[in-house]
Amino acid sequence: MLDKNEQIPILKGRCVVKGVRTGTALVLTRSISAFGGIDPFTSKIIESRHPQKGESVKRKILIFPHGKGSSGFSLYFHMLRLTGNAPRAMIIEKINSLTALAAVVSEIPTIGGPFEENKNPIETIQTGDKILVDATKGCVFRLAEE
Amino acid sequence: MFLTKEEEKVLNGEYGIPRQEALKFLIKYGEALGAERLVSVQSVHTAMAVPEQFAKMIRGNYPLLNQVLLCSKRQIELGQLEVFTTTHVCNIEPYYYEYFGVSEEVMQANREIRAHYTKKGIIFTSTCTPYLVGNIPVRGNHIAWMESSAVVYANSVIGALGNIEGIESTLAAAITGKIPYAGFHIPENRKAKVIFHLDIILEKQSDFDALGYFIGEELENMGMSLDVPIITGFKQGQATQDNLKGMGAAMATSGAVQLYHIDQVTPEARSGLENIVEDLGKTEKIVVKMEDIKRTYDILSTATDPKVDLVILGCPHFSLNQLKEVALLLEGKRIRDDVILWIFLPAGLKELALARGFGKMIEKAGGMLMMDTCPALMQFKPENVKIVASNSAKQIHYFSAEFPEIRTWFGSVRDCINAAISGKWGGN
Repeated sequence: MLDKNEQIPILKGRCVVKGVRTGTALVLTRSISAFGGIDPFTSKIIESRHPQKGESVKRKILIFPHGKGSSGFSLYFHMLRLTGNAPRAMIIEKINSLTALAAVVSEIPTIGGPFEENKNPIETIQTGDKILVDATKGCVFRLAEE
Repeated sequence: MFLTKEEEKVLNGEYGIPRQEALKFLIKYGEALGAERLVSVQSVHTAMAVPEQFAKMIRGNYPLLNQVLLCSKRQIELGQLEVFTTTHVCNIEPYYYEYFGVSEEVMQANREIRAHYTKKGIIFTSTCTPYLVGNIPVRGNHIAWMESSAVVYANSVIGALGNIEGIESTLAAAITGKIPYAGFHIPENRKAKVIFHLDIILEKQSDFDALGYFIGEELENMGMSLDVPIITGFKQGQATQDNLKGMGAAMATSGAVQLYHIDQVTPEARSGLENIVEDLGKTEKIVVKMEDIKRTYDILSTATDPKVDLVILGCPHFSLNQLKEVALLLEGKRIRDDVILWIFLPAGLKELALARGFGKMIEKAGGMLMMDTCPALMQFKPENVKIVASNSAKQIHYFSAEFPEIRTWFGSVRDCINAAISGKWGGN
């Protein structure tokens, strides 16, 4: 792992929930509903017609445009935490009440937009990328491949 | 975050542990939202029903449940709650719970939760449509509500101010009477940024569901999903409670809409487009065509076999007017033995409907009137049901996610009732 102080962040946004985590990115190319969208007991995406349907969010760095749908959003993230199936960190392009609340109750370090230089996390990061999320500072770093 | 002197006293524990812990939670949530302060709310719509796995874990230990929900380190024994607080649907139907495969143990745990929180001052309306049974904010009221379809209705049709909240934030609001001042609580954030012009004449209530589902999805495709849309060309006489109830619910299902306006109709859009659209000259205008509506019907109708096994009505919960329509369609008829008709509605309206006739007409024809709950929440499907018909875009969306093997027909209440009587889909 590189010394992050020597690196330039690939993204800089706003701290939503503090914390520092590393992990593998899972990028959702469309917004998601947590209730009827993510099964808290299998950690898999189940939303009808969602492009990443079938992927597991467990221990991933979850990157998505924004939350939508049912107000059960936060409770389903709360349950993901209690079942041990929660993502390690989140990067969300646009924060709304659903995702802010979900991040707080699931205690997942989270960065939200707007991002410096108008960067879009969905385009900047790809599924499988190894990244470090310093949510406290709002910075995302790419980790070198081993 | 800025706190008033009174809020600082709450935070220092001068008003007891529940208010202190709830305020701490709201500050964390407010900071996550980037809110500068809190605002007082006049109405709360929370949920006091927890999934079965939760219910067993916390059985009878409400201070622990409050602790878990408010992410606190301390158990929280609530005092009396002062804010007007009603409840969202729960996962249990009190009369049909055995039919839905709920054990007596879980039912009993649920009864105990109700009894406990009723004593604290929460009114168990158990509905997704609090505005049909007495929790009706006044224009300009700040609210802390769960249920996306209810929030979009209160924001858009009533002109109340709120965001879609969750179980945790509404419990904190019920305890403190506060919620973060962010999002749609702030008047400047309520301006429209995109126009949908109706160049067509819609007829049935389900057409408005289809319109809402189309708008929500289109906003997602345009990358404007969190922006407020305004609809122009909407016929004043079609702005009925039932049409708008279904349309808003669908918008908040395919998209993330929490507020929309209708030019010359909804309260914040009556003084001309230039006063409600943020930058009228530069605003994108989408013309909605009949093919958009037809395509949405096709997306929501995944079945090819006309045989229908189950008809689901009442998403969002049925109104008295919709119930009357069904009762009159069923008069002198009978639902086929191999078709099930479920109608979901608030407890208060079921009691009224049974007392005053329309409810009995539906039950006599073989329909099931069910209160307090929603099939999407119960996650239950009768065995052998393969094809489901509904007038609700939202119900079809969520039911299909839970039961990917089912196929669906989407159409009007009349189409659905005809299918329940004949066993065959002949609608759109």
